[in-house]
Parts: sequence; structure tokens; C-alpha cells
Amino acid sequence: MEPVSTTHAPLVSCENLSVSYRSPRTGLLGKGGRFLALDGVTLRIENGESLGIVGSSGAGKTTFAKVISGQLRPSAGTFEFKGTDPSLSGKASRGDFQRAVQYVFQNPKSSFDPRIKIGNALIEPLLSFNIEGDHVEMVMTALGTVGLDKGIYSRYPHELSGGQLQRAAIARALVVKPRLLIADEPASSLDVSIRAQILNLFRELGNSGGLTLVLIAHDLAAVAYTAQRLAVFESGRIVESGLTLEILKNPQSDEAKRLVSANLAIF
Amino acid sequence: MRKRNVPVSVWFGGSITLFFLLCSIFSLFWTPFDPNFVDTTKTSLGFGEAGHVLGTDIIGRDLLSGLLAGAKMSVFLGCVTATISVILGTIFAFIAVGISPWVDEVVMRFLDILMAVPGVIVALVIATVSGPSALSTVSVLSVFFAPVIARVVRSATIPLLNEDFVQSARMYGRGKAFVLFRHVLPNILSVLVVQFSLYSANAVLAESGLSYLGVGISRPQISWGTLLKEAQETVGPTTGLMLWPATVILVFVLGLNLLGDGLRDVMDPRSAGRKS
Amino acid sequence: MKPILQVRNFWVSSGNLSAVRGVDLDVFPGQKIGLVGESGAGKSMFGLGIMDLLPFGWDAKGSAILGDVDLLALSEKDHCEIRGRQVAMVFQDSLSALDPMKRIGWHFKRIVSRGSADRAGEWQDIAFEILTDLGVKDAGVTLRKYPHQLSGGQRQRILIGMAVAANPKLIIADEPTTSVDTAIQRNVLDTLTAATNKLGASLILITHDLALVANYCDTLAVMYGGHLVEAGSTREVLDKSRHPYTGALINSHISLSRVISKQLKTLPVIPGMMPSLESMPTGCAFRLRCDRAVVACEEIPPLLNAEGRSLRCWNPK
Repeated sequence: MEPVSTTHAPLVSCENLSVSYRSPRTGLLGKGGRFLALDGVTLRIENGESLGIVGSSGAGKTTFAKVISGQLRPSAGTFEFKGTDPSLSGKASRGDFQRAVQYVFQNPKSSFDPRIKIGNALIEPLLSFNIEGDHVEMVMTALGTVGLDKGIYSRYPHELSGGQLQRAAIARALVVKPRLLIADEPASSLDVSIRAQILNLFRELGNSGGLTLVLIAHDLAAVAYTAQRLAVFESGRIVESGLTLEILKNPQSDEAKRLVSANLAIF
Repeated sequence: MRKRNVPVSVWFGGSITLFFLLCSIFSLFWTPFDPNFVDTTKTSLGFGEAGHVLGTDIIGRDLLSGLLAGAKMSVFLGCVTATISVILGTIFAFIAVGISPWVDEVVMRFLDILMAVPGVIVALVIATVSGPSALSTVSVLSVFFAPVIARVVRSATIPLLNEDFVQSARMYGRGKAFVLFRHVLPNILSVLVVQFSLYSANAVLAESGLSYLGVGISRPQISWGTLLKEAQETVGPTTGLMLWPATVILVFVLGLNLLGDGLRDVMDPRSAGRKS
Repeated sequence: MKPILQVRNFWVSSGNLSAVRGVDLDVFPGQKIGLVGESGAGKSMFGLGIMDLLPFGWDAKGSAILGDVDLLALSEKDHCEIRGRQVAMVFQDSLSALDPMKRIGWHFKRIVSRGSADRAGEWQDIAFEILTDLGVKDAGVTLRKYPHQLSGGQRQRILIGMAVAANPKLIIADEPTTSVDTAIQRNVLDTLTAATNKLGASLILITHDLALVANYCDTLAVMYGGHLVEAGSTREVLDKSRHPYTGALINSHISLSRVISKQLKTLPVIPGMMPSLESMPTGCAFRLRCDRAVVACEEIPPLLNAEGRSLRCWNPK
């Protein structure tokens, strides 16, 4: 199922990853259970590839994304980025990890502090990571990459549309020149005609090389359009993974079959 | 951003507050008479007699000057107490929310205990120990207002902490404290402003009560509560000596409350009727 | 056949702003109309306007005749008679559409008792039957549960059940699958259309998802900037769309089959975005983004109805 990895080490390596939550007690005398959000996930992400993650809600996609972006520590299993476990390393390399892995959230409207201008919001990570160089220049370049007008620099978040905000969020992620970009349902809260713009952008970013992309979506078609490889999640496990086109043409697992058949076509 | 209609309460309350503010500043430079000047020849004068617009008290001190001087003290005390309470409350709230759920629990229960203690008793004790003064009044009031404000600030802070932009800041390396002061604080300013005006009102009211009991401000410093106390002790509740300070307290507190309520309506988008 | 709902020149406005501008629509018995548009197009306001459930400050104008009753001329009291009985609505957010403090059974009891006094005593049987028909397993257990104890898909089915409970002639479903997983979408819509068919009722499905309409509705109506820009039989409109916006919308949809066959190189993009109510251009709302715009477009094109097709365009394909 998994393509054999090439001679160099994968960018991200997950081995038997598990994340469990304590679920609330049922009643005063009930015992709380443990809820397994991730149940033994093993996955390798190679440099420069674009990986799509699909599954129904509750399948563990977002939890997985949180683990590989450092927001969540796994309860069991190992997670390695460029060969090392970021939770075990010192402050300096933790900073390197945070800079190398960037995250785009689902809802663009809550991604930005309403009191801070877009330009300043984009400079923040540069300041926080102590990156040298002409910050304004770097921000303008990032804005250009995502197709935003330079005038956006001095606007406030509420002045931008959902599509523009999402692009600004992507620009903010790109400005620190990350190795890995994780996008959690980046286009699902946007209008259909705007969705195309965002998905095209991701497709470009994935194809340009140098950037590894992980895209989470419940919309199979969106993921199929942007990602070369696919991992299908169900109940905290990966039930199928491989080349996107292969899985779509020939789904093996029940979940993949279900997702493919649930997709509605226009013609 | 659509302009919301500024409610009447802001204008009305704001004008009253402004009026008193101006009176207190005014009284820094000039009052008709020295409010502490005892003139046994002109005791218990009535309305407008012998140049005393509102009369004098039992030992000849001018009432109007007393009220003006009292305004100075009330406005000052109101502002200082409210400021300290809001700062203290915010710090408590940030400590509770920013460290860990366990610390949150401990801090909030500690604040609960603080709220359960009757403030007046503590004020009495402190007053007995160190003598009643502006400082003791401000300290006691601040400590007792802070927990309630902490609760409000905390509940305004928690939803903000769940916003993606906070998570985003943490993810590019910012510490919790930085996030609280850089991202949360500016976004809860409107809450703090409202709390400030409401607790100024509470402070004035509370101080008047304490001074009335004799454990707040005492001569030569004058506050409206002090005037109330003197009126009650010497003449009784039916004279102008009692009614004027009481009315003035009522109006000022009403004005501050209206202002606070109005500001809350303006700044909180949920309470104003909005098109979806 | 006489339409059960005849809407002519329907406007929904608040002061100078109009969310719905001159919509004509006929709904025939048993017809399923998909009302498609992006956010801000006015489709939700249209549905709310018909039901007279507009938010404060918004009013509906024009004519909407249900049977032989002019909906816009009704008093609130009379409108209450119609709502839930002849016209029912399925809302988008199932969690906020249900009272969180009351069990599911309570919701049904209210609706059934309201439907007719003599059925009130049998509300439990009626609710049980409806839920079982909708495919809810253990309907009895479900009736005793609270809304938050159910999944999104289950709740949506409850809402559909509630809409169906009073035997309405028309069901308006406003984005019923937006807050539901894609995998469950089909399920919910199968349930909705089956229930509608069983009643012999008509359906107005308000959605931004063209694929849903393609698979479940016989009629497609497209809205943009408050205008109804194109309408007609679903197959016809999709195969031979005439309004440029309809064409662009169809192209924005990612076809899985085209991705698989590698036919999809880049998704065509419509530059710009839908204008907000305050900054609506004069003339045709789509004018500034349209690649077929001509000088005439500075005047609002009339809505022309011919041979079952409606079109509002000066320069159609």
C-alpha cells in the first residue's frame, strides 16, 4: 500500500501514533472512559509531496494534523520531523520545528487578531522567530505569491472577504519559508467561486516544489484536485493510503468506497 | 463597520459624569468658602442666607463648598479604586486562565472566599488599626471589587483563547503571557472600560457608606459620606444638610451607571439589535 | 396544472438595501426546486420572506400566492396558521433549531397537537411512525433523547420529520446539509426527498451546492446579487446554461471523474467576488465579473420567462 520510500529520510515519520482523551464522567458515579482520537497511525510524508487527508468528521484528521504541527502531544507512538522528535529537543530546535511547520486554519475569520493590521500580523512570525532581513519586503513577496494586492498590508481583517483572509493566512504561513504546510479544510467555509482560487493556489504551491503540503478535507473532489497522495482516515486509523488517482479509481477499503460513492457529480 | 446608534444613556450618563468631573476640577481652584472654616456666628443657616447658597451646618461650615470638596474626593476615589480593581481583577483573571486549569481552580476559589468576606467588617477592622483614611478606603474597596471584576474578565478572555489567532501566535513561538497582553487585552478593552465606569459608581457608593459609618474619610478631608454622617449626628435626616449630599450621591452614581450601561450596549455587538 | 405557490416580483428589503430583487417563481405540486446561490445572493432571505420570518427591519414586497391566499397580505396570526401546516421549513443548524432543554418527543408533541386537536392524543404514535419512515432506528428511544445527544445527521432527520409532521404542501429546506458531513449528505437528502414524495408535497431546496440540485431536484433556479438570473429544468440548465454566471458556477464544481481522467488542468476562476448589498453595482449584478458584459448591462435586464425557462441577461450564450 505504501510506496517504498526513497533513499533520503522522509520529512515526517509517524509510527503507531495514538492520542487519547479522557471523556467526561457519565453522571456523578459513572467512570469516565478514554476516547481514542488516533489509534496507531503510521505514516510517512516525503519531501515535496502533497498529501491529502480525508475521512468523515471524528475520524481523527484534525487530531493528526495537530500532532504533526506540534499542537498536540501524542499519548503513544512516535512522531519525527526530519529525523528527530521535536518534543524531546531543546528550545532552539523546537523553534526551528515551529518555523518549519506552518498551519492554516479552517475559519479565516478567526485566524487574525481583529485589532492588528494584516501587514503587522504577517510580520509577527518573522519577529517571533528572529528572522533577519527586510520584513516588509518579505511580507510583500508573500502577499504577491498568494495573489493579494499590496494594499492589503494596511488593512484590518474585517475589511477583507473570506477568500482574501484565507489567502492572507496562507501568506502568513509562507512568509517564514516553511518546509511543511498543513491546511485544515482551507476552502470549506468559502463560497464555491472563491474555493477555486484557494484550491488553485494550493495546487500551485504543491507543484512548485520545495514545499510539502498536507491538505485535510472532507470534500474528496477538492483533495483529489490538489493532492498527489491520499490517506483515508476512519475512527482514528488510516484504512487506506496511496496515490490519489489509484485510490479514486480503485478504492479498496470500505471507507474509501463509501467516500467515493458519496461524492455527487453534476453530470 | 456599520455605525451603531449611540444610546441615550451614554449621552445622559456621560453629561452627568462630565458635570461632576468639571465640578471637582473646579473645586481645586476655588470654592465659595473654605469648607472646613468654622464660623460659629453663622450656624445652621438656611437656603441662600448670608451668601451661603445652600446654607451652613451646625458649626457654620458652608455646605456648597463641602459638596464641591466632596465631589473632588468622590471622583478621585471612584477613579482610583476602579482603576486598581480593574487592574487587580485583570491580573487575577490572566493568572487563572493563563497558567493551568489547576491554577484556575485554585485562584477562582480563592476569589470566591474573598467575596464571601463582608467588606464592611474588614474596613472597620483596618480603620480601627490604622485610622480611617483615603488610603485604607481605597485599598479595602479595591480588594473587594477585584474578584468580581476578575470573573467578568475571565469569562471574556476564555472565548478569545479559543480563537485561531491565539493558537496561531502560540504556534510561532509566543509565550502565554505575550499572547495575553498582546492579543487578548486589546480585544477585551471594551469590557474593561465598562467595568471601570460601573465600579467607579460602586466605589463612590461604598465609600459614602464607609464614611457614613465613620471608617472612611474624615475631616479635614471631606467626602459626601462624611457630610452625611455629620448631618445625621447633628441635625437629623430631614434637613438640607442630609438631603443634599444624598441627592448628589444618587445623581452621580446614576450618571456613572447609565454611562457604563450605555457603553456596554455600544461596545457589545450582541446586545444591540442587529441585522443578521 | 395550477401552481401551489406563485411568486411574482418578490422583493426583500431593509431601507435602501435589497437582498431579493424581483424574483418570479412558480412551484407546482410535487416539484422539487433547487434554489442555488452563493452567500449573499439572497436565497435564504427569499425563503424567510415567503414564510414571513424575516429578521427585524426587513420587509417583503410583491406577491406570493399560496393556493389562493396572498401570503404578504396575511396578518401575523393568519401567517401562524400557515406556517408549519401548509408550508414547513427545515433549517440549516439543527442544534439551534431545537430547544436544548426539551426532549425530541416534546417537539413532536407540540407540532402534532397544533396540526389538529384530535390527533393530539396520538402524537406519540404519529411521531414514532414518522421517525421510523425516515429511517431512524429505535425511534422510541430517540424520542426520549435530548438534541445534544444525537449526531448531526440524526438531528437533521428530526427536523425533516418535524417539517413533515403536519402534512404541509410545501417544504422549504434552507441549506439542510451544510452542517453535516459529506458522507451523510446523501442520506439526509434521500430522506428529505422520500418524505416529500410520500406527502405529495413540493420542495424548495436552498443550497450553494450545485451537485445536490443536480441529483435531487427537477428544477434549478440560480440567484446572484438578489436577482433570479436563470431557472429551468435541471438537466436543461446544466447541459445548456445560458447565463454566464450559471456557466461559471458549473465550471467551479470539481468533477471527480474529470480529476481522475486528468482532464481537469486548472479550475477556472471568476475574478472578484459577489458585491455586498451596500456596494451593489447599477444594472446587472454580475456585470463587473462577467466576460460577456456589454454596454446594455448597465441597465438591469428584465426577467424573461419562456418555455419553462427564465433568464435575466442581455447577452446570454
